[in-house]
Amino acid sequence: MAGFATYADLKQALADQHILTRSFGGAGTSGSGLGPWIGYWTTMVRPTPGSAPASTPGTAYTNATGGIVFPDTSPNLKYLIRSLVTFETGNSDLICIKFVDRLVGVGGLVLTSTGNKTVNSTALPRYTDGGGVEAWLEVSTAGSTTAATVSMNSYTNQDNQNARAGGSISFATATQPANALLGPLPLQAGDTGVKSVETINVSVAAGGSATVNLILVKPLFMHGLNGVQDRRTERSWPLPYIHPIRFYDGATIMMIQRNCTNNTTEFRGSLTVVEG
Amino acid sequence: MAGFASFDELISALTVDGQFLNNDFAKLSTAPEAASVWHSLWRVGNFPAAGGDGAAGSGTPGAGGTALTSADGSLVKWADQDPATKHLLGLEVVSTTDCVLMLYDRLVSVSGITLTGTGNKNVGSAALPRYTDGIGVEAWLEVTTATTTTAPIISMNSYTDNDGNTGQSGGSITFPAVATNVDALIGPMPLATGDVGVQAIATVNVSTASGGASAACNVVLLKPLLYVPLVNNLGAIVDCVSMFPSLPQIYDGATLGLAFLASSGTATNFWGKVLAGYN
Repeated sequence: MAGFATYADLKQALADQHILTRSFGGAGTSGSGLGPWIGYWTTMVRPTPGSAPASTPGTAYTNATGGIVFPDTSPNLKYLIRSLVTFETGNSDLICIKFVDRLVGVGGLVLTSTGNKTVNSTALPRYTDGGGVEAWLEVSTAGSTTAATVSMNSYTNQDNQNARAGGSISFATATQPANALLGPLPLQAGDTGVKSVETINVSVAAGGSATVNLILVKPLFMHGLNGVQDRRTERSWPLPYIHPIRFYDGATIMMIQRNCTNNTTEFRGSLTVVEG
Repeated sequence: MAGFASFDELISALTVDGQFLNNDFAKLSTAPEAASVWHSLWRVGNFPAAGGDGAAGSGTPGAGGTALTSADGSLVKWADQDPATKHLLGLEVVSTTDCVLMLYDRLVSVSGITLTGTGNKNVGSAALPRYTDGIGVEAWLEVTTATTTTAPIISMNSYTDNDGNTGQSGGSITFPAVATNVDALIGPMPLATGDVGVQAIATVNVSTASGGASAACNVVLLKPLLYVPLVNNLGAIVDCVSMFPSLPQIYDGATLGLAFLASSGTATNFWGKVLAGYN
């Protein structure tokens, strides 16, 4: 039987050392200013950094390079029991980081001209109905000169309804560094997730030469970090936080951060799961 | 027996049976009116998309507005689990300004309450779809068209209380500004002495009008579930198992919304996750 029938079963699994840990470390990207989310897909030092996804229909990520990856344990399940993060930064901005399961990436999207851009994203490898799956844009090549405005004007929702169209969203500033994130892209009323994206529409072009990836992710959990330099934070399960954050087989875990003021932030830490 | 009789049952339901629910959200607010004024996130996206306004008020009790059941705009649209019950396990959220966030179940929304003239305004709110006795149910005004020349003063001058008493009349409340911004949330509306909630509203009374040509608001009946104090850009995690509130129930059909008590007039973004289990 997968999972834990009782609290005692869970504690026994811990006593039996059914525990897996992965460490990670990476440096963020400076230059986008306070506010935007910033990704660590290509700036991790440990594990090996990821690379830009393929162009349409893109790349589906399963235990992929660039992510924090655990062994598959089927039929047993994996749950986060401890997350430990330390960070170093040159300022005292408050920071929030989130860990997401990176599911699909579609590279080479050009925002320098208006109109529809073909995405036709490949099938989701996990969370396959799209419930709770978010679409974000990830700057792969810096060089924008105008804050682009985009919308997801044709996508398939969590109920497998296609040709859905969400509202528009704009980058916060004209220039965006690589790894800056914009999202989640707005959904059509009534939708709760994204199964695939067919086209995005650029209504205000970025100018310059920037390219972006469209990524589909499932957020897993977050950490808040106090605005004092060089601090540590941790969260644990099942106490005090009972929320059972499950890592699916194949999960490709990526870190994103609420950016602080133009300074590079370095993170190090570890994720520990219990399997049973 | 529905619910969780023990910590063991909770662990088992969540891990063995997979009876765990979670939804992420991203809400990008409009500009709040000022510090210490509540502001609604119902009518903005992005994830999920913005919610809509209910039907207009009516002079016929029960015929006004819209009772909301898993309505578009809700943070979650979890399937009904009856006879099992769903319970909030926690909330994770980060905001871009200091504030207090309220998670609530939006029950009834009545649109088109004009503020440009004095007098009674028909509400005739639809029957509550959940929390039907009205205990703890609050009435709020959600600005849909900004006021212009005068801060309106308004009262709930005919409502049905938590004991089913009709014709109840509460005190008045004054809008926070002459020009109160869209999405400002005014309330909770004062109750008559001894009342602890609202089952229905027949009319509200505008004693001081906004002036101008078009100021208007929704009347919203809601049940607060959770309050979270937030420091800007510092993620917060609330646990509802080992900390208060203890496993509040999320009823089938719940239409979850957010509002925040602002610290300034700065538009604020929120990203987070709602987590629940059922058994």
